[in-house]
Amino acid sequence: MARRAKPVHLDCRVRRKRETIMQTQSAITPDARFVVIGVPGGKRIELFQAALLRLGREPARVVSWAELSAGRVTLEQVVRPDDIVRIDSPGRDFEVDRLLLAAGADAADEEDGERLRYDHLDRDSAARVAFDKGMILPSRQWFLGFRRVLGELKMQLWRCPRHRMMNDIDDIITMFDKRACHARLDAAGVTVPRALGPVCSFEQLLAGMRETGLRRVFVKIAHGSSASGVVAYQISPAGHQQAITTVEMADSGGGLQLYNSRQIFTYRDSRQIARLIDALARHRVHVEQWLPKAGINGLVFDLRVMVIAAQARQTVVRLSKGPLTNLHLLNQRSGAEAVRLRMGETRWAAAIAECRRAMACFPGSLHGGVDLLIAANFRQHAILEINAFGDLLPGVLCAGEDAYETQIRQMIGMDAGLPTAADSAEERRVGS
Amino acid sequence: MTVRENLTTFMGREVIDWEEDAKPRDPKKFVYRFRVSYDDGEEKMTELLASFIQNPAAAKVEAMVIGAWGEVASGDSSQPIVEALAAARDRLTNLKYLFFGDIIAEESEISWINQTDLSPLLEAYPKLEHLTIRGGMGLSLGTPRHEKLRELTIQSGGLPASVIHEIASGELPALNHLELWLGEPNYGGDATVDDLAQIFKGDRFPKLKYLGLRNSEIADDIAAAISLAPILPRLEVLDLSLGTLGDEGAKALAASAAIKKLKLLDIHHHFVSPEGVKALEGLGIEVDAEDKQEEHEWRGERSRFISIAE
Repeated sequence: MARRAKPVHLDCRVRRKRETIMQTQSAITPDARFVVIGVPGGKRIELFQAALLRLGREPARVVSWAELSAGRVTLEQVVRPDDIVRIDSPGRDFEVDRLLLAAGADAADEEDGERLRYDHLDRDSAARVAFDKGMILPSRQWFLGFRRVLGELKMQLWRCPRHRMMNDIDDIITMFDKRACHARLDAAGVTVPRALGPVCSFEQLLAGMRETGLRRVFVKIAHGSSASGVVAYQISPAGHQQAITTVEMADSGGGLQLYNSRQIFTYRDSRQIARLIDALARHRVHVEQWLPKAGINGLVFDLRVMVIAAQARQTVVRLSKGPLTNLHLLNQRSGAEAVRLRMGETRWAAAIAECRRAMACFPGSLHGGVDLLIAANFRQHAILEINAFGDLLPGVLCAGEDAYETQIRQMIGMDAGLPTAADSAEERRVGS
Repeated sequence: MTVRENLTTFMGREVIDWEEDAKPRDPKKFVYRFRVSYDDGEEKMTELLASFIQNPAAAKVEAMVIGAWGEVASGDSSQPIVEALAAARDRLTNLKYLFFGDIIAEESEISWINQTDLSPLLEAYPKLEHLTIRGGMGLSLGTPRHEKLRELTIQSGGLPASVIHEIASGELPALNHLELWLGEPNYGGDATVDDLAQIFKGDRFPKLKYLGLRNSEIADDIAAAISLAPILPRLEVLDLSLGTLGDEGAKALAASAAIKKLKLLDIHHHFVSPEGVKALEGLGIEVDAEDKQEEHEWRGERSRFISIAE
């Protein structure tokens, strides 16, 4: 049993004083301007701009994903010497989704013909696809389009004046491929759940589970974001099956269509589960062992740890009633202090160090949102995912600042040696 | 009410996980839980138990918690643990309180926990006063004979009728608290109200004050039967919570003369109408009718769900 350590209480006055110093410093630091590729009018841009404002910086110039994807703007027109370029999420903009799908329509897929033809729309259909709330679009195609556009941006940036990137484009691409990301972490010796090889159907899933002896797995769309297309599947020794998911199946004229919902569905019928997994597999899935997560306050949890400049910073505990923990499912969030106490200092430090090691697999990137699992015994841990755009954590603070502030400070060389998550648990800004 | 968190306290003591090289702590303040990781086998669990049992401090221990004993979700049975514990009878000479199966849903669904015949534990530990078991699959208690056992709780998503018959035919003269989570047929809970008849007679357990027939799909039948049963006037607490109790059962309870002798009627997680709840509250006894559930409607069929099944 690890000895319990006293919680660290940061002195608020000290923190505020530090912030004041920071702001004074920022006024005398030469202004590097930020360019953000994102979705204008979105929450992410709003919070990033607010962070710049708090640090006394001029607002970033925002280039829209839609404009870039459509080729109406190029980065050469935007990026100026010494700019800092931030690539943010293209999410929550259906026009961008449509453009990325179109861009992916005739993109080469290195997996084509090998195993399975993934769900696909031709360029015209992709450009015309109608918005249908929650509908899971052909996500392999979306990813191919995303990768293609990012490749194009990389070429444009190559022709731009000298500038700095917050995150490396190839890193972002890898983080958007759960299979590739898992493989990279695994190869580097980071503790990750055991993965099954490529699974293209329910039948293959069962075969893989038999082969590995795993009875509980997560099946995740390889290019999904957040809890999109995630299924917690298990078979009992007595042959009971259970698939817990937010994916809803709907039969339309064109066949089975999958929707992400805010509801949790539990499928127990083998044929239903087979349909679900088969349909998900046509999006390309990553399958890994479902490790038992710890419970606290009567709920299951995992953690999102922002690793910025090699340090663990903003940390949030994602509490849930079931195996799917995700902020977007409106699960409760809370601070990490209680988890840290239960684990004891040594084990907490080891888990945090694992997050840093995971992020170190992406040396070209300043930041990533690392999903950290604490095992039911509060002793072991594992890294579940790294999210390129995992920093939208409104109100989650570390040493008084949100993830955007920390990132900005790091980019403009204002690291003041503020405490990190290893020293202090996450705090929340009251009222935000 | 899925079980999502391991015990933090048991019998008023803080629960901590035993580790092989740990120094035993004050047994009045702490209870050790024995559990292994998802990637350890059952051998590891028996090693862990052995490392404690060999410690002289084991003789002072009154309470123990048995957690996940291996790959529980993969069907590892509790049998080796029962054997190891029973064999330690000369070491754990003061064992009074045992929680057998502190396993959360993330480790194994409650009805997928592979239990076994636990009767060797009752035989090996004559001082045992409290036994809680989680998981009904594969469970047996033999013909339980025990002079000291005061509290017996079985939490399950489906309790086999055979276990109910075993208890009803046992000799448990000190039993004060009997709590059975009956569950549903899909998960092995095949008991009907007839299987409870022996218990309802009331002559088996002269000291019984608390009877819990919880998490049951046949809560209405149970309510109807128990409202006329000889055991009812002797109880202080009747617990029909976590099940599918509806107006039918509530009416039967409200019409019972003997029910007014209860100190507490617990029906929380129920499907009783506000009028029905009012009728029960009018009995002049304490009633816990929290957590009213709504029937699910699907393709014209209405159905009720118990709190924990899977």
